[in-house]
Amino acid sequence: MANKKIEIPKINVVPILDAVFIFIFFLLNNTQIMDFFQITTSKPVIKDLQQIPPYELKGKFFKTKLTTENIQVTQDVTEKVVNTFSWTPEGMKDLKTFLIQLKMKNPSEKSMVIKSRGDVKYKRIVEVIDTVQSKDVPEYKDGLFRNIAFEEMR
Amino acid sequence: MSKAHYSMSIYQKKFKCIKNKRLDNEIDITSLLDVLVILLFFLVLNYNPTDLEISPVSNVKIPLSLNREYGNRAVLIQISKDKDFYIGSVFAGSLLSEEGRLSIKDKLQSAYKIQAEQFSKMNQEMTKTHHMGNMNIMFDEELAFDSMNDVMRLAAANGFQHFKLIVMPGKTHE
Repeated sequence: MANKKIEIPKINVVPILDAVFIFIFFLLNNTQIMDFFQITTSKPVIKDLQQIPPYELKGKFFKTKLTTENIQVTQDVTEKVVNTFSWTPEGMKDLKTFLIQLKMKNPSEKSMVIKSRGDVKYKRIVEVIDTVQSKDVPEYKDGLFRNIAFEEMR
Repeated sequence: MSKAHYSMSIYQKKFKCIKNKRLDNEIDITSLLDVLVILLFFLVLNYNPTDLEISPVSNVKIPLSLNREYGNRAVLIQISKDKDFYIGSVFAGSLLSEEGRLSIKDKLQSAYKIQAEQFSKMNQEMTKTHHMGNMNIMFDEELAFDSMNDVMRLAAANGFQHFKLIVMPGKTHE
């Protein structure tokens, strides 16, 4: 009787270890040390919006026009400039604030055309896309303007 | 033999010996479990649930972005600062020469055909996330927009319709 009390029940960890090893093997197979993410875009706008008959046009046609000097936000087919921003960190913050306000006024708008001059660098364009698609605004968790298309500035 | 051993009863001697033998056979796996837990933690942190496989070529510097959208497997193209065009990680031609462009066009067409074949073999569950004509593009961060536009038009002319720009996680604003 005394012996039975002293005996401590031991846990058999062998099956747990087996499972852990299989799990590690599975994870190792699926692990990439470098992380990659994607920005979803549409193919470049081929039609010139001014050539499309007005009755076919719907929405506000927001565009972000990029040059090496500044960023302009335009609306309508006529590309009426509504605001201009610089490429400085402060300018980018102002652009974000402005885009949040724009989204609040037009909650159904989900698209933004990035119209860029040929000499603007891709790094800059990604910076603008990050701002246009900002997901840190609680009201718009899917991003401010989710759909991105590109257009060339002639 | 020690003095204590001689003073023990036969019963005590018998059971002491058995107990000692059992102890000798046990392996302490605590440290092994510690290592495994750390390894597991590290792997879970780096786990990527998608099937996106990318092997970047050395002369393409991928830009940083705040975007955290996971990608899927598709035809991958990489374009360097010097406008060298890679399909996967294989050099397809230079965008600067007419010969290079023709070679790129041919290779894009065959990549599209391969993708169509793979797509036809996919099960229904896979077709929800993988679309025909999807293309993952890795542009060098120093590349200008006219080159980007040129590449996208070239790809669109060869059947690709959905472009995913591949970026790396990081803060963009300086």
